[in-house]
Amino acid sequence: MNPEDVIHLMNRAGFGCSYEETRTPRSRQDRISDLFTGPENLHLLEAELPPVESLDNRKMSGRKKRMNSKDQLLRTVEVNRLWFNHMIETDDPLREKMTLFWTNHFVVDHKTPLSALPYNNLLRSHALGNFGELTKAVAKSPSMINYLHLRQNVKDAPNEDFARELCELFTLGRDNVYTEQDIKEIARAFTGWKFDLQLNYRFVPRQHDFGTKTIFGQRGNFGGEEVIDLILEQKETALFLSRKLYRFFVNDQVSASHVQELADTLYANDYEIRPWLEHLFSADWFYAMENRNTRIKSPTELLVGMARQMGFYYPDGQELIRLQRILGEVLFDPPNVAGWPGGRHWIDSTRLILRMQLGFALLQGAEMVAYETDPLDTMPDQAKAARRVSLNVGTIDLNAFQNTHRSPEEEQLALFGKRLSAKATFSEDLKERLAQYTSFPEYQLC
Amino acid sequence: MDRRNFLIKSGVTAAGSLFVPAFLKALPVLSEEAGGLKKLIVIQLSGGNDGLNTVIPFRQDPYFKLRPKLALNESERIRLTDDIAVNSALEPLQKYYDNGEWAIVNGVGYPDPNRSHFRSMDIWQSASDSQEFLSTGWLGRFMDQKGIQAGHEILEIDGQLSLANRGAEFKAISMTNPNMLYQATHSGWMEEVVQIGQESGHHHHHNLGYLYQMLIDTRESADYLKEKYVSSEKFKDFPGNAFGNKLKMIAELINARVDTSVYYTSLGGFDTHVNQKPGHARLLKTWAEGIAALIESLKRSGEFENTLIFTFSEFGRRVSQNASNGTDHGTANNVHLMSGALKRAGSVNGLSDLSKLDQEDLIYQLDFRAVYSEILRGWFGVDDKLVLGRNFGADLGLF
Repeated sequence: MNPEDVIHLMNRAGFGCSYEETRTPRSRQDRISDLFTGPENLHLLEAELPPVESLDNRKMSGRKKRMNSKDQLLRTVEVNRLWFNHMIETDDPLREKMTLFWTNHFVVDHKTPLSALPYNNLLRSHALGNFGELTKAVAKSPSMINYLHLRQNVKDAPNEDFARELCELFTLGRDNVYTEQDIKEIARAFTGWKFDLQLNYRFVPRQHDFGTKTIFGQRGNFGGEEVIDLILEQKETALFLSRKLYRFFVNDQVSASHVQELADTLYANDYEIRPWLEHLFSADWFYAMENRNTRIKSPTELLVGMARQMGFYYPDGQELIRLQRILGEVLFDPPNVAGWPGGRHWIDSTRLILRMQLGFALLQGAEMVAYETDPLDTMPDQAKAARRVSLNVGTIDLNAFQNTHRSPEEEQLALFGKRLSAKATFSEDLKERLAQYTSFPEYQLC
Repeated sequence: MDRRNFLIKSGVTAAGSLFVPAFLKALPVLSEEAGGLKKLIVIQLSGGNDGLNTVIPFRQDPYFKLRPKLALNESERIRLTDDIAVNSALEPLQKYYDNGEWAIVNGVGYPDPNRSHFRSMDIWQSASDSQEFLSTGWLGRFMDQKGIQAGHEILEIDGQLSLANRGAEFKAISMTNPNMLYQATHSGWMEEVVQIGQESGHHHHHNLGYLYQMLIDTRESADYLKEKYVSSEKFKDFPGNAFGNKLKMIAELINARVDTSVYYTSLGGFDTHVNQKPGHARLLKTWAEGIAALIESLKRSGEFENTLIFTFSEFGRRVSQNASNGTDHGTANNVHLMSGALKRAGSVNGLSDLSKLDQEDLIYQLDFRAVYSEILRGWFGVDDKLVLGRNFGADLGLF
């Protein structure tokens, strides 16, 4: 595999790599199989969590309540930082990339680390496993049960929130296959899905509707898991997921025939995720010129990528969370249940200019025009006035970078997957040169 | 100097440039040079303004019963008519009410109201249903519909671009002032990047072309705004606070006759859960004094007939006060429209009925999108349905 192909693969399947990693001669198939690691390599995130009792604020005064929820948010930010750093340091980048993908698929807004951390680990454990099992695990997780009001979904008063999003956002796609009546029946099948005080899933039979339901024209006494199986039988589910995968990994302009290939693979393999991804990364069209350097990086891809490609470390403190906020993607804090729309929505003129200034600010301490923000954004009523701000600079091991990138050509290949225009004259100073590279619109793409 | 001449003068149409600024490609759809461009100024009160202590339902008993500490007494409100009274902090605006230049629309909201600041603000800005998630805003889609490409057709005077101003294709510009925008887009290295981008000619490349085009367009807008702004008259009679400064900027840009049809800015602090009365009055005073200065400057520029000022908040507040002498998140609210060209002014519909509540909250009388539709159709003359997706009926006869 030539260096350009390796870098393209690693940008998409992970968060980029140094030029050094392209030197080993290995075939495409070998490189792809390297991406999949066994269960022994599964690294779950660990953090000290507050006691579950801290979630019960019923007896707290108003002030205590506010302090408690602020504390929970602060500790959620710590999990954010933990995951962010793990994406930078992991030797299992595809798993993290897929965890990121599923995070914006099975969207949950987390207000406490007791939700964020276990849910993140759940997605990570299933990230390369089986989509059906993943969906069932998500449906049973307290985070989702809480977020989409499954707790309130009881026999005599069904709440359709989860049933609707299960079909619309998680599997079939909006108004596809299912009817309003199906939603009502599906909500009935998920009645009694709850969690206990220790945050474990619990099925409560007396709140479950054991009656006969008709879903997609089939009659039966379906429970929640059987409904998920019924949904997976619909080929439209494989198609919907494949379209989303294609947008995430290949191009936001979708090729119907490539998506169909992916959908057929997913369906034929009973929703196993590995063969689906293997098909994707093996396909010649994945490496076609029109699919290279064309995806707009999400803020996470941009920030993590910078660190991985350059061996860069972000400053401590709240800087990182502020950056996520002004760039528009704070982990665990999605805009709504549909997640971040992505693609061109990441960038407007203000954010483009911000992104172009970012390297100079982080590497050299240059001022940039941005707005001051509370990292928690607990002050939704504050106007966001722009001014010149300085970020704390991060650290970078320039010697290590220089040892692995022996020429400007290698630097540019690692950062852009191609050579920039020969007309550009870059600084002799490596740090300044790296800042210059990151200011190119090309660097916003991968 | 018209836009085309300006660009030729600034050299951007020189032969060899591959990226042509978007607003040269399309003939200007809206132009201020001839005068008379219709303008909208949107003022967002962030945090959930307490509408019941803004326009006072003083003839309704529940108001006093449910707000023993917060209800405004006679000395704390001013009568605009026999039936309409407002917080006395709004005194600077009284004469505009008397002149028929201020319309109050009451009970504006939407079905199945959401009480989260973020979500409800997104609903107002994207003009979505409560359970619908749109990634474009109503003003952005308005520009999409007109085929507008120059980002400065909408200027947000804040540090971040709001959802309201994002279209599928159109992306507005946010800035604090033209000088800062100019500096951020014209640093030495930025020139180099643009030069290289021009020469390497990948402008047909899907997303890369999009980014370079956005960069070029933003720089052109920055040049244009700076040139217009620097040479224009600066106003003095604005309050010296941050909100006053933002309105002053808007007034000066309008006076400089820039081709901007929508200005968007915000005043924050309205999340008054605790000891609301003095703080809320201060905020309303800031709003009223700022708006009064803005209207006066528009009148001096001869632009108040061409300008509509629209003020809204993401929700109103609970009718009952809470245990901390404040109010919690509520639902329906009043919105305010001011212009020298209103066909109908004053309180255009009845106040919400405080004896008919839904879970302690006001029941909305009018969908906020009916107000948008009136602005789009009546003020701007565009097909509101194309922007809002469907018809929201009501015609208040404002324009």
